[in-house]
Amino acid sequence: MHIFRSAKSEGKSNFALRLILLYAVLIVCLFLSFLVGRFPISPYTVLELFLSKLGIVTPHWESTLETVVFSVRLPRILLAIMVGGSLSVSGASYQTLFKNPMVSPDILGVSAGAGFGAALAMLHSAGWLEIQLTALVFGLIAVVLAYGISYIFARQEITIMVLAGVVVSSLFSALLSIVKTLADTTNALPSITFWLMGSLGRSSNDNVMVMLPALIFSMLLLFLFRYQINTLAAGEDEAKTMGVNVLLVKTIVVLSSTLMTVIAVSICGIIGWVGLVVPHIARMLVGANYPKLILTSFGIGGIFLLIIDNIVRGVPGMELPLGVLTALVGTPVFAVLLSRVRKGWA
Amino acid sequence: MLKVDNLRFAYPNGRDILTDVSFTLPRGEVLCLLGPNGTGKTTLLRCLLGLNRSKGGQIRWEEQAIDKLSSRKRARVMAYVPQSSALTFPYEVCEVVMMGRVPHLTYGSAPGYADKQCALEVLCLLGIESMANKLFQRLSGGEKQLVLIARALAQQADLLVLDEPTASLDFSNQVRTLKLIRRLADQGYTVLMTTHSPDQAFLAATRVLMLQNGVVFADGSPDAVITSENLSSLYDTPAVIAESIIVGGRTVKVCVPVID
Repeated sequence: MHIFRSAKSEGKSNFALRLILLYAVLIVCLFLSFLVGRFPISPYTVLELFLSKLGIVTPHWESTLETVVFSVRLPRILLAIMVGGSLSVSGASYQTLFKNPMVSPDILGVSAGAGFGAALAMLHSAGWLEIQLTALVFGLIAVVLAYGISYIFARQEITIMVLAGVVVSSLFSALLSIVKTLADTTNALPSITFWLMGSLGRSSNDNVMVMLPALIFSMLLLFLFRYQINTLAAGEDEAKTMGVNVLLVKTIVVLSSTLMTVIAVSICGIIGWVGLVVPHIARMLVGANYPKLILTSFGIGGIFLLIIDNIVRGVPGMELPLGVLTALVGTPVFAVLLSRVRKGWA
Repeated sequence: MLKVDNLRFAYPNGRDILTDVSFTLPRGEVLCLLGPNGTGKTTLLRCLLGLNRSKGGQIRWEEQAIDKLSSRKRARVMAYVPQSSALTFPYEVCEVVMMGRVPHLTYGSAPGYADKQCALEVLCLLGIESMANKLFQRLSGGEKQLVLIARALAQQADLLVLDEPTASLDFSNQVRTLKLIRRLADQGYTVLMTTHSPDQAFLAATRVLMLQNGVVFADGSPDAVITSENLSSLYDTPAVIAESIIVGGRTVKVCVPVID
C-alpha cells in the first residue's frame, strides 16, 4: 500500500522543489536584467532604487537613473516575462487540448490576423497605440473566424478547428502580402517587416497595465479548469465519459489562450517558437500532467524570453530582432528535444 | 438495474442505426453484447454513455433517467473503458487513474487525500500499484487495459461499460481480463461489455444480448441464447456449440465455426 503513497508524495515534493527552484532562477534573472543595457547601473544602485520606492532609502541620485530603471527597463523586463510565460502557457494548453505536440499559440490564426492588422495601421502611418489596437482587433477577428467556422460546420471538432485555423491564417497572410505590396518602400514597408519580427523595444508601463490583468484573468481561468483540461489529453469522448463539459472547457482554453496571445502579439509583434518549444521542455522536467505543466511552462517561458531579450538589449551591435533570435535559439533546442523523443514525448 | 426502453438512434439524414432496442440489466450482472460488425453495438454503447444523442426511447439506472443527467453526474453513475487510449504526452499511470476522479471534483479544486486514497485502492485491487509511476505509453497492451479499467473504477460508478475489452490482448491477458470482470460483478458492479468472441460470453457473462441490424435479435442467459441456430443466423456463418467436460466435472461450451 505504501509504495504508491510514498512514490506519490515523493513525486509531489520533487515537483514543488523543482517549481521553487525554477521561480528562484526567474527572480534572479529578473534582478540581473536590470543591469543589462547601455546605461551602466550597479546592482547596489538597483537595490537602493527599489528600497527608495518603499521609503527605506532616501533618493540621492539623478532622476534620469530612476527613469531608466522604472520607465524603461522595468516594463521591458516584466513584459518579457509575461509575454514569454503567456505564449508558453497558451502553447501548453493548445497542445493538451489538440493532443498534438506540433501545435503553437497561433494555431487559430492570432498571429496572422494581428500581423495583418498592424500592417494595415502602418500603411496609414498610424500612431503606436492605433497599431497595437488594430493588431488586437484583427487578431481577435481571426480567432473568432476560425472558431466560428469550426463551430458552424463541425461543432468544434478538433481536426476541423485546426484546419479552420490554417485556412484563416492563410487568408490573413495573403491580405498581409497585399498590404506589403501597397506599402511605400521607405517608411511603411520596413516598419511592417520589423514589426513582424517582434520586439520588446517599445515596452511601456501602459503596456504592462494592459498585459497584467489579461494575464491574471486568463491564468486564473486555466487554473480553475486545470483538471478538466487535463482529461482532454485522453480525447474528447473519454473526457466526456469522465464527466467533463467538453464544450465549456474547450471554450475556456481557446478564450484564455487567445486573450493572452493576442495582447502579447499586439504589444511586441510576432514571436515564434516560444509557445511551441517551451511546453516540451516543461514536460521533460515535470511530465505531461496539465496542472503541473502550466506553472512550469510559465516559469520557463518567462526565463527564456527574458534571457533572449537581454541578449538583444545587452550585446553591443546586436541588431537581431527578438523573433529572429528566439527562432535561432529555438531551432537547436527543438533539435535536441527531437533526439530525446523515443516513444512519445518523454 | 439498467433499463433501456425503445431506444432509437439515427445519424442526421441517415437510416436508423438502432430501432427500438429494449433490455434490462439487473445489478451485479455481466451483459455481453454480441453482433456482427456494423450492427450498432458501439452506437448502443455511445448512446448509453451520452456520446450519441438518441432519437427516442429512455435509458434509466435505478429509476433515474440517465439521458437527462449532466455529464458530470452521469460519470458518477457509469464509467467507460475504451478499447485503447492514445495519450500523446507522457502521463504517469497514477496521473491517468486520477483522471477518473474528475467527476468528483468541483471546478478549481485539486484532488485531495480521499481521491488519492481511492486511486490507490483501485490500483491495489487490480494488483498494479507497482506501476503507479510508470509512463502509460511504455506499458504493454494488457497493462494499458488494466490501467484504463482502474481509471473507470476510480470514478466510483456502479455501471461499467467496456468496449471490446479483450480485442487487442493475448490469450492469457484475455483470460485475466475476463476473470477480473467476473470478480468486479461479484463485488457488486454491473458490467456491460461488447465482444466479437461468443466464447467469452460463456466465460464471463450472466446475460447475452444479440443485436442484428439495430434490433434485438435475442436476449437471455448465455446457455439459452448462444445456440448454433442463433449464432449461424446472427453472423450468417454456420457454427456449432461444442460441449466438453473438464477437470472437476464442469461443463465448458465453445463455439466452433463450421468450415467446409
